[in-house]
Amino acid sequence: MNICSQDRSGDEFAQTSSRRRLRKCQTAVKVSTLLNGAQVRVRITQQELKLFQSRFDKRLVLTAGAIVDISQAVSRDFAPRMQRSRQAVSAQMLRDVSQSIRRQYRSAAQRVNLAEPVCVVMPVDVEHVSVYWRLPEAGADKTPVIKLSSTDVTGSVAVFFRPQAADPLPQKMDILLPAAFENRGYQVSVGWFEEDNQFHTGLESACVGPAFAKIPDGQRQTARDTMTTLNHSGQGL
Amino acid sequence: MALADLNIVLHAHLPYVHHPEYEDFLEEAWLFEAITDCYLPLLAMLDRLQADGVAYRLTLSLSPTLITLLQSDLLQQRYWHYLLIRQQLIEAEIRRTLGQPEVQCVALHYRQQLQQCSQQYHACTGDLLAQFKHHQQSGGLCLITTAATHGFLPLLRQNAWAVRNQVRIGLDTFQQAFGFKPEGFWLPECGFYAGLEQVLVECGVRYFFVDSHALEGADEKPLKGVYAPVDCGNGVAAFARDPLCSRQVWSADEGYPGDADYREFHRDMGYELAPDYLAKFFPKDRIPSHIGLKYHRITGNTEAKQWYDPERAMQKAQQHAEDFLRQRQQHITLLSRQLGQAPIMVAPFDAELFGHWWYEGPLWLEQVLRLAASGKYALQLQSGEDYLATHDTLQTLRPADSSWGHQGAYRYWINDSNDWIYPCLHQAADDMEKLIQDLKAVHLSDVQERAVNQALRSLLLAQASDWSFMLTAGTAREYANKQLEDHLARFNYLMDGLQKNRLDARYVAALEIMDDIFPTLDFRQYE
Repeated sequence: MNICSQDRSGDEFAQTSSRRRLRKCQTAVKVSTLLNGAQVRVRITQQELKLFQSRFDKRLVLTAGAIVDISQAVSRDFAPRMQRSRQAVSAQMLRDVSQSIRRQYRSAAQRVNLAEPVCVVMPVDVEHVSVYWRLPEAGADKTPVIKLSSTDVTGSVAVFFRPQAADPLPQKMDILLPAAFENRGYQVSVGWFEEDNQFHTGLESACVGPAFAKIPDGQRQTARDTMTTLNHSGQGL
Repeated sequence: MALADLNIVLHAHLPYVHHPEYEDFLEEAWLFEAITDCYLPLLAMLDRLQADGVAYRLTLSLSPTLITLLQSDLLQQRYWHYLLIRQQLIEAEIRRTLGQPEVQCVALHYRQQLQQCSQQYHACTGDLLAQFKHHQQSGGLCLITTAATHGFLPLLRQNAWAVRNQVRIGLDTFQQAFGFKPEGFWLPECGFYAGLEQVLVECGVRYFFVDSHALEGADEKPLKGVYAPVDCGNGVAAFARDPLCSRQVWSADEGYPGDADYREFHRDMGYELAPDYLAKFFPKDRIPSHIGLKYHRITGNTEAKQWYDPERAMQKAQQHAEDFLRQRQQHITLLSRQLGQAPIMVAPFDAELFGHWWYEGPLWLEQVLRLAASGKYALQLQSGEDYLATHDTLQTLRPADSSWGHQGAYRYWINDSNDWIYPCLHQAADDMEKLIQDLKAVHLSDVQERAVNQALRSLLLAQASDWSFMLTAGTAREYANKQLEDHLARFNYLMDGLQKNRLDARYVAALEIMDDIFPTLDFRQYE
């Protein structure tokens, strides 16, 4: 993969979508000659003339313009609310992005947010797990607390974490696994502390087995990871 | 002493870049560049090896997404147009560089390459898959495949049905294209988790590839390190990537592609030529941008790049091929003493590295295959299935969770830039699975039936690892976000329409046209 070198700038999609609408053109097919002498039929600007049919329904005929309209209508009305990353940006930029997202996705169907309570744990690397959850209605107004507990029969360990508040739903947290959890199975519970300081479990994740093995230094056959390559210009391949 | 085995594996995959709704679309050029720079040169290489009677063996993984893109009539037609524009540009460049012999020589080199491409493409009438099949039937090429839309399986495992369908639909798509089910399977991004081996064996997979971390961190010490496949305990074999083979090609510091004589990928004339001149060939709103025309060599760690010299680069590729095999030879001698048996070295790479990122890559690879087949070195080229046919007993162990990302972990595909994806993907998979179960015995109208299939396509497209990869890498971030939003929105629209019995046939047809992947998909087969 990773052939994807060309990048669009900023919100080019929004700006150019209308410009990209295809012009009507009288010429249906242009015959061009390649360097090897082969003649090919090339369609350059007559896309609007081309009528598309679904391979599953030949009765309906759609123009490219109609397809674009449908695509935009579906995206406008049904895109999920998404949680963008926290980038190092200015406050003004955050406001701009926030407004833009609100404007674009205000009417989106909030399928994920309407869904059932859930607690999902995803191992990330040897030291981290990512957790997301949606608390049941009974705990919706509580301050959530994450409990990480080992599932080993010997030496049970539990550690509590308090996630940052005010994250949109579903809430999520990247947890740094304490050393006691190294190479052990574990489970995540999301709940809250009652007035008597007892932890009340709202949700429990599935049990997660020991995921990534910690390999001692020196046992590794190669000291470096080689996902990406840099050339001598210092730029990534 | 028995010969060591060298298994070179290329994995070819692109995200689903298919946009009939636009006259031309920037990201479709990813496919066209890959065809020109990589797939056609690889096929030309295979033709030459066959013509010269070279007993090579090479494994090629073709992703189902790429298979679908290569089958698209629309994209084939657009590729002709792409070639034509490239040829017009090169002719203009040959005229423009008159009086600059060092530059013109590179332009002439590109003209020759483009002529070759168009001849090849014309000769096979755009059917590259038939050419790959021809080389598979000739015995040199071992074809395998991967998950349907290259989903990163460890992060989809929340829903076992989703993982199983990525594997099954991937295998089914390959079988429809090539007429047989592959024995081998490429795990997207080498992403493995304990339990995946069971899904693979249930789908008929005999072997797959993992990163070295999978064996280094296994529940038992692998007796042969990464130099012999292991049995995962259920009969399916895992071959691990040899980090030393990889390093010589991938490494930032010592990898071959960074050699000063090789073509500089990042110095593109699309940013240097006059906009008015470029406007004769490209839409104005795409100027300046990457156009794939490069005249410089890497030169060194400097901005003052020298002109590219194709002859010199070709010689360097040959030297690097010899160096690669010489180093393998030294390593084999060492390993054979340590292991008490000849090792198998697995060298997997992204296919698009060869020719696109590393322009001289196909030359290097051809030379490696020729030299390895010559008998000059104490090794033979083998595929995974060749190896398994002659080795009955493998060590049994459970590989560790791993990927070929940083530190063998999943971080590249789940981090602050992209973790919002997963609740959406998990929820969508749960909804889809439930819907299919609910519809088991229900008679549906034609449009409803198609809407369910299309929802499954949208879900599969949203699951592609490409989007999370791009969001992390920061390349084409807008496109990745848009595709994710669109695929999830289309899924939501179809589910909503099905649940409320309010489907618009025009909408369904439009989505089928845009996301025209896996045309024979039948959701009832994937309950």
